[in-house]
Amino acid sequence: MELLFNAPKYLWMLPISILPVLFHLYSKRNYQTINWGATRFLTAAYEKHHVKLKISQLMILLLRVLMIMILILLLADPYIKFSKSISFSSNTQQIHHVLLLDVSLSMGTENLSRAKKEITEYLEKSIDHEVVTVLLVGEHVEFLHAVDRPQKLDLIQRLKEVELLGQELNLPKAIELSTDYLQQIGAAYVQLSIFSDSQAVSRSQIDSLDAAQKRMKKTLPNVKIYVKVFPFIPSSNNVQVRGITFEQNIFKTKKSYPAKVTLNYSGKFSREYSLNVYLATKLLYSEKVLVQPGLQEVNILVRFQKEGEQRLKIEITGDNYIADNTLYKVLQVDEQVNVLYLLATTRENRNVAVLKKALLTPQSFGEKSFFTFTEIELKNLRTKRRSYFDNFQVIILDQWELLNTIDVLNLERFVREGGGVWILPPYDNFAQLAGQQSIKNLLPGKWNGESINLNNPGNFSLGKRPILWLESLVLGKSNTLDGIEVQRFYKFTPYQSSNVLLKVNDNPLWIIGRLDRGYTALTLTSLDASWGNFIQGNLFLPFVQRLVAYLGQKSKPIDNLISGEVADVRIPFSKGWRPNVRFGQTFSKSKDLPIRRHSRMWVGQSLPSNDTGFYYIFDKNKSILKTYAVNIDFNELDDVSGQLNRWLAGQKESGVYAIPISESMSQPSAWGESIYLWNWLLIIFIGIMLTELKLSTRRKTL
Amino acid sequence: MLNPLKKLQHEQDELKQLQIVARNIAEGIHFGLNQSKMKGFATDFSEHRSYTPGDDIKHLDWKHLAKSDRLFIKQYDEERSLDACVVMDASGSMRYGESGRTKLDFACSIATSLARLLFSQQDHLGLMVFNDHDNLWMPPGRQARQQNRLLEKLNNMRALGAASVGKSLSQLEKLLHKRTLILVFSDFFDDITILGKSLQILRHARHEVIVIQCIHPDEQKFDFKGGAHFIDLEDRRIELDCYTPELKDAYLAEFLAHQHQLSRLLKKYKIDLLSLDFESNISLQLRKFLEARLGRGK
Repeated sequence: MELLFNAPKYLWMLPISILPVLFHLYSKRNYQTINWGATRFLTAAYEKHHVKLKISQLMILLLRVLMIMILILLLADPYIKFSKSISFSSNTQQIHHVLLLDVSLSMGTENLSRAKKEITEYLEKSIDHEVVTVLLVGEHVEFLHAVDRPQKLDLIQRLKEVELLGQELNLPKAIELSTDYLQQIGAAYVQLSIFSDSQAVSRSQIDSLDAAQKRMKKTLPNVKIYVKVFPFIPSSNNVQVRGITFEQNIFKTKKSYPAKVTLNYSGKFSREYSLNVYLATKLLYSEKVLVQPGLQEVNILVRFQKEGEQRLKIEITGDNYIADNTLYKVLQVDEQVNVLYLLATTRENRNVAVLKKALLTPQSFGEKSFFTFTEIELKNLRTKRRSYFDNFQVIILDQWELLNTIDVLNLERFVREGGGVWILPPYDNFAQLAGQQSIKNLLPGKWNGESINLNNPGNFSLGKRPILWLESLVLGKSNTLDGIEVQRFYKFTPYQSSNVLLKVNDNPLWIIGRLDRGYTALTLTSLDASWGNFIQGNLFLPFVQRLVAYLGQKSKPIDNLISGEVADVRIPFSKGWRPNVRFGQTFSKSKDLPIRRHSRMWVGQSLPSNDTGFYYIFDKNKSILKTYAVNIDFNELDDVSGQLNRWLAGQKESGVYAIPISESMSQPSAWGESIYLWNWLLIIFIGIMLTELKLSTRRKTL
Repeated sequence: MLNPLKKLQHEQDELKQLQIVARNIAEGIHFGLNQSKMKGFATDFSEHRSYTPGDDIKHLDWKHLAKSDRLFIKQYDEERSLDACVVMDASGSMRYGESGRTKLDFACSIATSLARLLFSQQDHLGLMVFNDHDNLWMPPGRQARQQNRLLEKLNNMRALGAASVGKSLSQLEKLLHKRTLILVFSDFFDDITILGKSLQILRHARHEVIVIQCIHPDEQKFDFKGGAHFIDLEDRRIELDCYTPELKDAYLAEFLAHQHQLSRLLKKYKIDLLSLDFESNISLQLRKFLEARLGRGK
């Protein structure tokens, strides 16, 4: 269990909580002096009550300090994260070192010899009772030794004889083999180290590697695995990056890098350039250099700045956070496999945030241009934009991403706060990309609308239509429909803690699972043409209704439920960007529209109409206070408040949809048994206030 | 802010005003106030009593003898001069109050008024001032010299140190040889038990005691704001820091308990109590008190 804060910057205000103490001391210094005659009664009163008075004074002081602290903590928006961490029974348990040595041709003799040298040093440094296993990884994977517990000297001797082997690096296979081996010998504490040049790891391999590692963790649930990748720089002495030469020695020692190197670059990136920037920054202790493939040219300014003596700060400035009218926010960097997760949204469809996965490996660049980020230093991101991202609570995954992510509900890494219904968009994105053409025209074949038994979704089937595999559209180059292809997947594997609500041919269609704070539901929509048609057709809406009814534990489906893309916009009290409605604002012309702190405003978009939005104002118990259906221009999501106000000012009757959604959404069970820490803090705060009131009353009657 | 000289002048002016007030009060109400309880043979007939052998026959009521053939003696009210004594508490606690309007200033103003009143009636008046620094005893008298000295003392009195009213009254009883009217000016922030014993002795000796209690409104209400550092006026070593609103209720409880005890004690010995109200007219208070006493005497 971990206590985290959504806005930790407010914790800097904690020293303010000692203000009452300072005031107390200050007021004590400023006591008026009174020459007093009736001291007899005063001293008698004081002697009788001074203990009580001292205690009550201290209590009041403490309560005041606590009140301020709690207020600050409330501002910092705390929450508890429950994590399943693997714990070791003892630190003294034997450590198994597994060293994977890349012997593919891409390493070259020079890198191989350097790697061998490093492994030798590694072996020499290891403690006698620790077990070291070395695997040679090329196209095939083999152990460097035949016995279970090889001697150090034997390993070092064998290592000298190792030569370059296969064409490619089969890292997933190596990890699988290691897993079996570790399982066999009953390892409890494992350090996995990979000695490889990162160029050799392809995108597909990274995916496989990711999967293999997960398998390793599943197979050896009590094993803690450290993975360390040793990247190697190119063999040349100097690294040329667009006319700027990085001397190799700057990569070797921490102290010898230049204090300030500026790269000014405009235009398309070359693979070499990207590689070198990546490696340079990587070796210059910036572990946050991220590369996203598949995006158009980007203006980038990379600035290396000396920060202190030991660290190098890399600052990326300029308009690098916008590309092709797309805004990006880096969500997560998986440094073990150099994978970057990005949340992207577009100007055209800002209520949809799409999760992107990008790799950091050079091979995945191909001839494409790419995009560089730092996780922390998105300097010029305007506050408004930043808040915009911060306020997204519902992320809509696109099918392209989903189908490449096998564990579809393993989303903790992406989203800290779950809850609500996550609905994947159907082929709308494709339709938009194809110039507003309907997907039906793009895909061969049609589903003729076999009946679906909605009363029993668990046994849902597509009638007599056999589906042997799941098909997915995979985007072509540059995320366009050019070169779009259909890939077939035979199996989707939901995360083990998730519930599959609905299956098709043993593949999950509707899945719900628990994230941190509530239930999350996913639907896999990119199946085949028929499915696409189905989702766009009349049956999709009842489907969503059924899902929501299930989550809300309602006996019957809810009518007129909206579907499609729903963004939950949280209204933060303290942040700069507040969508639309000001805190505590009352709309006189439409009676009340109360917004309280942490009220939730849902901006909904209905199908098939694209220009109608819904506002749902929730209170903290998730009960809907008010529902509005108004015409919203979703291209102007930043100004939803303006739109709403204009609409209210004009007293227009939208009347597009009446939404009795409150029945379904107001059930607490639909939101899980969430622990909202700030709720508790609020209760404590009120308790303190009451205590204070009681104390002051007691003082009066003393 | 006034400089010290001007401040002194200001205080003296105020005192003079009070003296004028006292004189006016005295002149306004001084006639025929002291009706003696002694029976004698002067001009005002009071009653008859039976003749007993040894009585002077010149006091026989001859007319009554002629009518009833019984012997009666005529008795008359005798007017006698009164012996009075002002007992003034000059302890530090009497110094509380604004400059020129301290409790002692008020007490002295009233004492001066009464002194003028008594002297104008040819009564004898003495003065006892007590505190642990300086005790003064002037036996009752009515000579001009006595009058001047007494009034001067009342005008130039200083409050210092601690004092015990009870002990001082015990001492006074030893000094008085005749039945005397004792006017006690004090705040009575003293031990009630000792005071009770002293009053008992005085009453036993048939002295009449009038208590004039001087309490400042601040002491009655304790209406301070915020924290305060209190220094005892009688013993400056006693200091106390407190947040006054918190202590107010407890203080008032103690104060009222003491007042209750005092009033019970005075009631027990049938002693009149005049509580000085600093906020209302002094002459009016004094007039009411005297009229009340006069009424009771009749």
